[in-house]
Amino acid sequence: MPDTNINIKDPYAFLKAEVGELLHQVYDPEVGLDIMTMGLVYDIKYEEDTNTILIIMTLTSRGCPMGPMITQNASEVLQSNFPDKDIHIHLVWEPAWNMDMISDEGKAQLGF
Amino acid sequence: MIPFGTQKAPSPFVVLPYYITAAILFLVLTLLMLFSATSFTGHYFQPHILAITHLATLGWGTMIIFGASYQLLPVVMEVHLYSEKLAKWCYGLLLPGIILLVVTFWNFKPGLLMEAGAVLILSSITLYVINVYCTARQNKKWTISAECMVTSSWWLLLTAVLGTLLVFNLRYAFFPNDHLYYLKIHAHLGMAGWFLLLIMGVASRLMPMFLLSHHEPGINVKISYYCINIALLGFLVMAFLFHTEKYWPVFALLVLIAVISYFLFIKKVYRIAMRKKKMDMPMRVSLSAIGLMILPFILLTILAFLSDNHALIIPLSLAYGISIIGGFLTAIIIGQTFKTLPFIVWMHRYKKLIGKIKTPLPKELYKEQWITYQFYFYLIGIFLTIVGVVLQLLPFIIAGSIGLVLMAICYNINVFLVLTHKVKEVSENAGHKHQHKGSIRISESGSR
Repeated sequence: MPDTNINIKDPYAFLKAEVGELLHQVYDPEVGLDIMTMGLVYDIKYEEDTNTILIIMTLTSRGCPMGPMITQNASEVLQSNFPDKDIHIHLVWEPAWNMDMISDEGKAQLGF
Repeated sequence: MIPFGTQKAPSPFVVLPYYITAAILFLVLTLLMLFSATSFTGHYFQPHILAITHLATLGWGTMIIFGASYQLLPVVMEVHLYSEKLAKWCYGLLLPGIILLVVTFWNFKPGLLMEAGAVLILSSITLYVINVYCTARQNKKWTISAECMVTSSWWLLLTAVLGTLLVFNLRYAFFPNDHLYYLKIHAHLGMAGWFLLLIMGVASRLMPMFLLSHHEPGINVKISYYCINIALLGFLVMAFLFHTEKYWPVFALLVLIAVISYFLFIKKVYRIAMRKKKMDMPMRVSLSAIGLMILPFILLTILAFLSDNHALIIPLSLAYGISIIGGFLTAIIIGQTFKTLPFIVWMHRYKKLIGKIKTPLPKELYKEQWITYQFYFYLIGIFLTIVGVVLQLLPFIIAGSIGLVLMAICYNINVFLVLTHKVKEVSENAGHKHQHKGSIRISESGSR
């Protein structure tokens, strides 16, 4: 999961925090939780040389039918808020997502 | 470019006609059951029962499963559907074929029209098999779920070939044995080889996905797969080469082992599922369907202990067929319809609006309360119908059929609620690309 603490030594810490906040608007339509709460976002990076916001994330399962919707939603939300930056969503399958990655708030919403 | 998932899904115009037709035919089916309730107190080989059975298996079960398969093949196999055109032709041949076959069975008029209906259905099924096979050939990551989908399509083809021959046999009588002997083979190939195997395969992929459980289909599903296939192959060899029913209980036992092994798989999926506490109604219905798989075996066990001319043989045999088609098959369809259909419609309506407007969740496209009503009507309806058939009590059969009609009405209301869903609160810019300087890229790799 991306570090939720703001690292003051990182010059882009506030940008990353803002991106993280925006990604709370992106929902998995099947589950009804946002992708940050679900722990689907593994890392948020800013690549200065290419002016790119890079999101490293996963899905609940490989071939998830909602996958394209989720990544499209994430990229649209970010681009409308950062129109001058390139957005790169990179999907990974290792480490595989599991329920320990869901936040406590998310687990409560799922009834745990 | 998005390299996975629904980008590979076919157009909704390929899939939705199957769902719409199946929903309407399902209502027709329950009405026919109600208006010919007296037929359920007699032998299963009679015109109205033949018509109702084929409307149930082809117009309801196969129709919706074809639609769902065209949608789910890309999900299960992670490739594009081989041909949308074939899928459209498949529908174009299937519907008139079913109408011809059911109407001619109802009036029992063997001849050209009945034969034409059977040939149309066989042609449609052949196109389906070609599409499944060619889609599967592109699949690089072979799974047991994909294996079940492909193998079940071959069993379906075999069922349809035998069914077509049986239709011609009504006029030309070329089979060496009794017509009913082949009818039993035809029915079991369809029920175990097509419906059971396919549902096990697809559900082994979807259940963990919907329940957020990471138990992959493994040894248990493989045991189910091999037991069913060995049972069916043995059944065919004994039936056609040795013309004997002697070993049929052995094959039934193998299918029972398959079902038990599948239960163990579902149990493991459920045990580590993250969504079991707040499970939605469609998933509750689908899980109940898995439990209903045991009902035909209870009836079969009773049948095995009865002598050949026992008075209960005929009603129990009919109840056995109803417990499969009306039991787990119908239950899983009425559950899974609301896990797949809202998603298909939602994706079609909102895919250009995602990230631009606040979209509803797919489950907000239907009324969950109606699924609850539908499920209660279903349970009452199927229970009364089976009890009525076994005990030959007409009032029970009529009451059960009324329950099933009410269930079909609830089902249709929800299906058409989903289909007629309109996009609301669309802002002026929604659906159009904003003018951005930056670009969007989506990529995929194994690990971070």
